[in-house]
This record gives sequence, C-alpha cells and structure tokens, in this order.
Amino acid sequence: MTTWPSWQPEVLSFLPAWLWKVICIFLVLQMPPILVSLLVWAERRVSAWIQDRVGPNRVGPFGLLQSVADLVKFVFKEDVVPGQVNRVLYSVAPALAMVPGLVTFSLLPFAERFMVSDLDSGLLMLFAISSLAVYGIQIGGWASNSKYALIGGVRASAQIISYELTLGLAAAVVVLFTGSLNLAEMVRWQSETRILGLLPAWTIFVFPGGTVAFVIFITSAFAETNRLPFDMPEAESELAAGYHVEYSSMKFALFFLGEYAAMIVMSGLMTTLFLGGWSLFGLERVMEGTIWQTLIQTGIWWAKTLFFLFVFIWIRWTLPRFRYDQLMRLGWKVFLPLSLANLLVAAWMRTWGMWGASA
Amino acid sequence: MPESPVPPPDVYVPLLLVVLIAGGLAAVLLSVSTVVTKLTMRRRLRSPTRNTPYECGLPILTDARTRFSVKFYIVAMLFILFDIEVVFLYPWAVIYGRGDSARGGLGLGFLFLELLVFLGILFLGWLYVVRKGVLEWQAE
Amino acid sequence: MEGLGFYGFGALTLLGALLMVTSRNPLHGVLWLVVSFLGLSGLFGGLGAHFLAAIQILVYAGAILVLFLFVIMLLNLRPDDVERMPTFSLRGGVGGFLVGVVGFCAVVGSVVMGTGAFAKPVAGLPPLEAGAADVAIPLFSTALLPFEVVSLLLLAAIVGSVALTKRRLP
Repeated sequence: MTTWPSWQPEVLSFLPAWLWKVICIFLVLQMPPILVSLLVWAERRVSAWIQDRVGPNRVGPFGLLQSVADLVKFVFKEDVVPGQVNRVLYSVAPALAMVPGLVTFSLLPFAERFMVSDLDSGLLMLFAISSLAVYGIQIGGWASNSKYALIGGVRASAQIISYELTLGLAAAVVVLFTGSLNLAEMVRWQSETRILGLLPAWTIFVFPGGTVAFVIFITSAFAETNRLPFDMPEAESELAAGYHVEYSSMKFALFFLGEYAAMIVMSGLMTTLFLGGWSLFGLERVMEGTIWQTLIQTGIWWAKTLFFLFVFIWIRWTLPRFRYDQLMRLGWKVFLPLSLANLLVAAWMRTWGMWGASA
Repeated sequence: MPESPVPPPDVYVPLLLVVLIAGGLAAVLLSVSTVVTKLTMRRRLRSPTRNTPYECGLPILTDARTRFSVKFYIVAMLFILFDIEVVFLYPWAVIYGRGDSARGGLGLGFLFLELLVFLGILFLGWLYVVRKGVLEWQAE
Repeated sequence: MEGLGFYGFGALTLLGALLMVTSRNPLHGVLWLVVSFLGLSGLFGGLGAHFLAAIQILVYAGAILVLFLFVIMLLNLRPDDVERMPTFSLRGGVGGFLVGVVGFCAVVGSVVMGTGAFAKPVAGLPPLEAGAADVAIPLFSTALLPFEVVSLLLLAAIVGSVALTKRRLP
C-alpha cells in the first residue's frame, strides 16, 4: 500500500493530521455563507451599475450590510405553509437543494496544503453530489402543488440533467490531458507543464481541445445553475418564480443559498479545471511549504473564482433569456456532438504532443 | 497491484463530516423560521385565499398535478443512456492521459480505436433520435 | 473506525431499502432509495473502491432515480389515492422474499462451494482498493468485448425509448 501524503503547511506540522482537517472543514464551511451574502449584495450593486442605477447603498458603507438586513428579514418573516402542499416533502426539499451545494464546495482544492478531501475520483464525486441537487428542485416543485412551481421544477430538472452531460464531457477533456480524476492532481499538472516551453499549460490555453471544452463548460455551467440566459425554470415573466414560488422565509433562503452555492462551486470548478487553480506563473511555488504559500495559493484561487462569479453576474444583466426549445436544441443537438468530437480532437492532440505539454 | 498511489479510505471521513454538518445546518435553519413564526405571531392569519396556491390572483380551477409533456420523460431516459456512456469515457480518459508505463501496456492507437467504435455506435443512436424529431420542442 | 464505517453504512443501506419498500407515498420511496444508494456508496468508499463510490451516486442516485421521480409524477397521484394504497401485498411479499432467498443462496453457495464469481479473485480484475486507473486498464483490455457490447445495448435502449414514446394512438 502506497502512502498518501498528508498535506500540511510546515508551521502547523506539529498539529495532528486530523486536527488540521477539522480546521480546514471549519474554515471552508465559513466561506459559502459569507460569500453568498456578499454575492447577493454584489449582484444588486453590479446590476444597478450596469443599468445606470444606484442600487442598495443605505445599510452600512456602500450598502455592504444589506445582506445582513436581508438575513434578519428572512428569520423574522412568517413561515407560510400553504394548505395544498405535501407537508413532509415540502419541508425536506429546501434542505435537499442546499446540502449538495455546501458539500460540493468542500471538495474543491483551494491550495495544495489546504483542502478538505483529496479523493482519487474527486471530480466524479463532485459531479455525483451536485447531481443530487435536482431532487430539491423537483420535489420542491411537486410538493408545492402549485402550477407555476410544478412547471418550474420539471423544466429545471430536464434542463439540469441535459447539461450535466455536456458538462461532464467537457471536463473529460481535462481528465484526458492530466490523466487523473483527482482535482489537486489536475492543478499540479497545469502548473508544472508548459506549452511550447513557455506558457503554463492551463487547459484553456491548450488549443483547440481545451479551449473548446472551456466554452462548452462555461455555457453548460450557466444552464446547470439556472442562471440567465438559461433561467427558464424561474422565468419571472412566465412562471412568477418557478419551483420556489410557494416558499417563504428561511425555506426560501435555503433554496437561495443552494443556488448561489452551486454558482460558487461552478466558478471554482472552472478555475480548477481550466485556469490552473491555485497556480499563477510560478508564484504558487514561492516559499514552498510555508503557510504563506498556502495563503498565496488560496488567494490566487479565489481571485480567479471571483472573476468567474463576476462574469456570472455580468452575463445575467447583458443577455436576454433563451426559449426552452432553443435551450434543448443547443444542449442536445449542438453541444453533445460537439463535445464528443472535441474529446476525440483532444485525444488526437494527446498523441501528437499538445504543444509540448504532454506529461 | 495499483499502478498509481490510491488514497486510503480515510479520505472520506472529512467528506462525511461535511455532509453531517451541512445536514445539521439545514435542519437548524429550517426550524429557526418555524420557531420564530410560532413565537412572534400571536394569532396565525387564516383565510381561504391564504391557503390556496399562488396563481397571480386568478381563481384556482384544477389541481396542479396534471400530466405534462412526454418530452420531459424522454429527455430523462436519454439522459440516463448518455450518462452511462460518459461514465465509460472517464476511465478511458484517465489512462489515455497517463504515460506509457501507467497504461498497462495498452497502446494509444488501440485505445483510440476502441473508443472510436464505442462512440461510433452511440452516434448512430444520437442520429436516430435527431432524425425522429424527438428533441423538437416547438408546437406541432 | 473501519468497523464503525462498515456497520454504519450497512445499516443505512438496509434502513433505506426497508423504508423504501414500506413507505406508502412512492415519492418518499424514491427518497429512501436515494438514502440506500448513498449508504452503498459509503460502503464502496470504505473499501477503497473510489471509482465505484462516485459512480454509484452519479449513475444510480443522480440519473436513474431522477427518471423514477419523473415517472412517479406522471402517475398523477392524488393524496387520497396514496392513502388507499396498501403498504403490503401478500403476492408481492412472497415473490420478493423468494427472489431474495434465491439471490442470497446463490451468493452464499458460490462462496461455500468454491465456484462462481465470488469464490476467488478472478485474474485480471482490478484490486479491491482501486482508483479510476486500476479500473480502466482491465476494462479496456480483458473486458474489451463487453465494453463494446455495452454500446450496442445502449443503442438498443435509445431506439427502444424513442419508439415507445413516439407511438401515435389511433
């Protein structure tokens, strides 16, 4: 049995491995709630900025405490349970929507010595757990026993499962380049190999296989998280709010949290798979092994991820909504064959040397 | 013998902990609003309209759970089939991306051909689905 | 610790399966089956079968049961229909019990008599503690023919599902 390294910053190496893991879990689980509250604020500020409005600016400096106010409101709102619902499933659904978001977030590699779980098939496990989020949406829509909610839930599930395919096929290109399903291993490959001996081999730069895969991945990620231009499940002009129309107070907040957590996970996954994760032109190897290296790597990772989160918001306020038939046509008739062909192209590149970046 | 280092099963313990914590958090958050509502509202507002599903103020005529288009089912069925295909692609991609020694003596060309046959047969299926117009969502 | 994981996940798997069979509302049944599959995935993880642990959730809980969910919604159940549904039927119970006994005997018998798939590790199969690469090498060399036949099977299933749903009623 080969040993598996327990990655710990050197300063903290006196800690037993399990204690470091507990600290990691503690730190990592702080991130999504904090980030979600910031994102909600950012979404409103950025949308206001794009539309030449002011946006929330009253609560705290620049309106930063708006999300805190929102949270207080969520807690004190009446928990309305309409009479027609299936009570048990209605209460379980928000939890089913939220838990996968938090759990998949903990699977991401933030820095070489700072991750919660370092699984052999980490990418697959991440996809597997995020695919469970369909249950929350579908059950929530059905249990509400409302027409808007049911149509929204069914639309959302069909959309999510359709784009899960192309998402997986695009990620398979990265697996093919790096020869691993372990997310940390993928980042290590991207930071250590060079294209034409110069550029770091971030998958997005490995033209054309990696670049096309990235385009497919980011589009599928938008569909997967039900964000505009693919937000048919919630389409407020058609369905009022979609699957969570009958939910109020904290139950609604959980759906909200799950949706934004999924968005953060998708951004983090794009960073990890296509933009070299924690690596940045050798900066990730400065002060090898120290806690500073861990901090720098985490900072780099977050900088890239926050950029993608900004893109999510930016696109939302730029593009109009697709029609449902257009969405399905794009997924099944364009992206599915395209991503399969792209995988074969990438395999061909692998035999031919990938611009000198072969492992 | 494993060709590459494989982590021991303990790597799942942190993941398990996260699942438990996230589940616990969800349970606490769900009960918070229920409890706060119970404590702060002396009298629950009750009226017939309050208990009906939200439909923009229109009177409710039928139950929400009616049948919906068969297209959704066929999407779900095709998803399973293509998902299984994708699952086969992952182990293939893993060994295809490794060096010659970690591939167990399988040549790249051989592996490529294997996958080409596999995908070629499934491509026929995709072609059939498209030709039959199953994925057309416009009204007929 | 290992024992705790094994018994914990084993109990979870059995509990999920039991509640799935006994729950009156089919949607509750689906959710309990998800729980059962998660427990099964935990068992695989505890054995170090990393690839299987992920696939178990991805394919079974994430894809096949989603279709179950869709189909159950098609059944168009009303709450009073659910109330009238029996939780136990004698014929189904006896049938299920018999199938279970046969399966159990087959597994135990093959171990005891030293024949069949469970008797000894078959040459060329991946080791129990296996990552994705350890699964892949035998899959694409020893099991080459079954692998290609799977694509034919999937093709047949695609054609079948399309043919079933496109049929027009007179």
